Amino acid sequence: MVVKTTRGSAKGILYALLTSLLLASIPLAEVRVVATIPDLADIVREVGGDRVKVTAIAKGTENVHEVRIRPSQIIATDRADLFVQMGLSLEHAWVPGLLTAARNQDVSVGGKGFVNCGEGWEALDVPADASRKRGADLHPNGNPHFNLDPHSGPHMARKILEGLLRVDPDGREYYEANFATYSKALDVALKRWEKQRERLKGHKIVVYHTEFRYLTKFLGLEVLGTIEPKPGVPPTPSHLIKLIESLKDQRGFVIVTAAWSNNRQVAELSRRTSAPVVELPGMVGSAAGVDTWIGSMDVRINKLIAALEKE
Amino acid sequence: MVPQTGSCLLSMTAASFGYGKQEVIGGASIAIEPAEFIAVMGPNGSGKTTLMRGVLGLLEARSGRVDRGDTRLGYVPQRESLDRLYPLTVLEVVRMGAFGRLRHWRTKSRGDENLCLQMLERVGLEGAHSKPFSSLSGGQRQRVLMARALVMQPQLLVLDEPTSGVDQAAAEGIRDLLLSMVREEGLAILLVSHQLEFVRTCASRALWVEGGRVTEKSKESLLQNGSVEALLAAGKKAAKEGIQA
Amino acid sequence: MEVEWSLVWEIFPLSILAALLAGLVCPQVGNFLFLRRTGFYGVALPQFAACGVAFGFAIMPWWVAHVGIGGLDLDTALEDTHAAVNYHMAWAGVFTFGGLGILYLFGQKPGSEAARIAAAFALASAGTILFAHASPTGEIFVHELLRGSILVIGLHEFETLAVAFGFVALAMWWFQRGLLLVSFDPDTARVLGLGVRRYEALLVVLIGLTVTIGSLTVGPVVLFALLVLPPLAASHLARSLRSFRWISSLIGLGSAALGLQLSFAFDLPLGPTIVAGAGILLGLSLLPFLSLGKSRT
Repeated sequence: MVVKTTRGSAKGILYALLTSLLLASIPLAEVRVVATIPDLADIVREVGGDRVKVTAIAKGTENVHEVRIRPSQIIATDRADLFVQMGLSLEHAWVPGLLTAARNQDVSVGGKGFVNCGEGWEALDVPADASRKRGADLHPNGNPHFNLDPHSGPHMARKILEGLLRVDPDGREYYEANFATYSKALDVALKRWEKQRERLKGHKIVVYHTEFRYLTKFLGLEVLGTIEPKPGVPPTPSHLIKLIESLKDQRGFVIVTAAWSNNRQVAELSRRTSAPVVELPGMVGSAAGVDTWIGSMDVRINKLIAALEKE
Repeated sequence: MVPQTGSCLLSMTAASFGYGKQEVIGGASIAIEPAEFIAVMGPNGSGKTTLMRGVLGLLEARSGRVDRGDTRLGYVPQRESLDRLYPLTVLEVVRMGAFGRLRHWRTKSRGDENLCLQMLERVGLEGAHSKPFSSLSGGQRQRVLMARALVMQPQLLVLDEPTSGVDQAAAEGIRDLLLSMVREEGLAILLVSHQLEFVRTCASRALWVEGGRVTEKSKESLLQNGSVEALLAAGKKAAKEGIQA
Repeated sequence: MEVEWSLVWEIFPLSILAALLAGLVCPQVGNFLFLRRTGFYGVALPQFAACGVAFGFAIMPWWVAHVGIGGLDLDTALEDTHAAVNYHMAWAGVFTFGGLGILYLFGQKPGSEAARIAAAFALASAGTILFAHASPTGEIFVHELLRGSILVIGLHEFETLAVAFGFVALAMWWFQRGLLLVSFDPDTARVLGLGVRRYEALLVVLIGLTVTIGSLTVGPVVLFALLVLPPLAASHLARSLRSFRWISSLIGLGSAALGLQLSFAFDLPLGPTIVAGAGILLGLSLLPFLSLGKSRT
């Protein structure tokens, strides 16, 4: 009996040890997260690690202003514990409908599972008249493409961490540890990009849409013009004529575009100005090998260096 | 003046009809009594159809008077004016004759259903009620439209070129049917036709329409082959010259 | 991601009901467009509605300042509120009925009806692009609204759809006799004492209402498909007008059901799958003729 008891205690201790080891390595809870764009989904994975299951709504190749919702995405949002959006009206054409259809109070605007990364971000190009009375503007709250700003990584990661802590406070240590690791990686990457930008400073570009506004500012590139007269508004003949005229005496610039832009008009401008076109990845997943937010920024900067140093 | 009696089904006094600013028929005076078989004849474009539409009330008289009293009218349009795209059965077409009597949401009533079948039998199309209307021959479709008009239980039946484009045997069948209606039921018939032979063998009197004027022709004058045929030929020639001009 | 079937009804009841309702009712209206050989109206009218929505967006700043939309400021009015939805539907209605009125007036003149409708479609399409261009939200937001994704249909939109389509279905049934005779043989209808102008006006109202509400809820493309394809398929199969009407609505209902099935099974956007469903059923309706090696006249 005694022996038995002793043997039983040893087994119990062994089980307890194994269990605690397993608990430490395998997260208990699974937090279901829906992110509007793959960039945010990547950062959620970095911070949430194994405790989260992430669904991204937009594909990397899609125009993030205009996304067609599929049934699984509404179900995912309905079941989500956390919903992460960029905000600043980037997704305003489809997120309200998605949240209404999903009828999940926890992730509705103002709910504890709703993360708006645009909150607290100092946007560029905020219109003086925010009431949008001055004609067409797809960016009524300023430029919302701050996921393309090399400085924005820590901000987005911080917002996601706050959201995860709200919906899964038990995972605090785990999330904070992941956040710290990811912050270090971001720091290293930022230093790398700051070094690279020395090679790009003062170079000239023309863009189609203003999605790369933050990136060009960071890199110190001079934007000679945009093919869209206003964000979301296709070029008018007079605007194109003015743009071509203004570029007549310019040399050594490239036209920067993304996959979702109207690249026929980009090609036409390239033909008329003899400037080469460089297509940059818009988001994570927009091209082969562009799998992480840090990696996507590397690809963009390297592509720009390759294109502009040739000119 | 129009001769009128107490049983007059329709009287038209100095009535004029037209479209837009154009007057097509002027000063027409007609009286139609029960059991009369009246043919309306005249050259192409003379205004026969306009007169018929005036009789039916499809055109308002611009001047003069048209008195239909409580006369129930039946109408057999030219079959080619009806689109064959409609996937109607024979019975569905005939049922339309009763639409004026039914409540809004109903398309048939038991009593009218029997009447429709009876009328189909009357026009010699018993057993054809479930056939597609569009699959019938010209003569058969004409009979279906006559059955539909009979379901309207008319006192005056107006037919627009009922034998146009049908073969001799079918035309004779239609003629016999119309004559039996006149003789047995006292139905009055107003028939627009180009076919002199058909009119000659069944009409009791004829209205001649030309140049916007309506004149009465007696049965006797219709029997004088030369006169009406000459008039029709003259009308055709005038129309041809008009086109050439 | 795979869609769990157990969740479908729980999460998408409004989408499912809206799709089935549209599948049932739109073909009843489409039957008349088809039989009257005005099927092109099914393309042109939703485009008028789209043009109206784009116009509403373009003048929204002025409208908010001078007329008002339920007391909303411009930013709120640009969101997905009841008052804003009503505002968009009102403009869609104004343009749809205006377009119908213009087509009707020009229809009295001689000339090709198809050419008139094609011209109207071209003008309405250009108007949509130009008005969307002038919209304070840019074109993308306008296009998003015009897509009318059934998957994200809101309660207010569904209620509007249910009331409007319920009214259309009831009116189609109640006035079926007059609508049929006035379309098939207007002269006989007049002889029988049916008010042809009243029935024509009723048909215009029913078509306009279906297009206006349908454009903003199920979207112009789905609406066009449900107006045109089921009657076309039914015309291959029906042997009477009664069966034509039943088959047409059954095909519409089947298109919606098939579209829902495809959308949930393969995780695809719902609108285009309903159109694909209608296309599949149209193809199937032709099979009897292919096997017989002949076509009906």
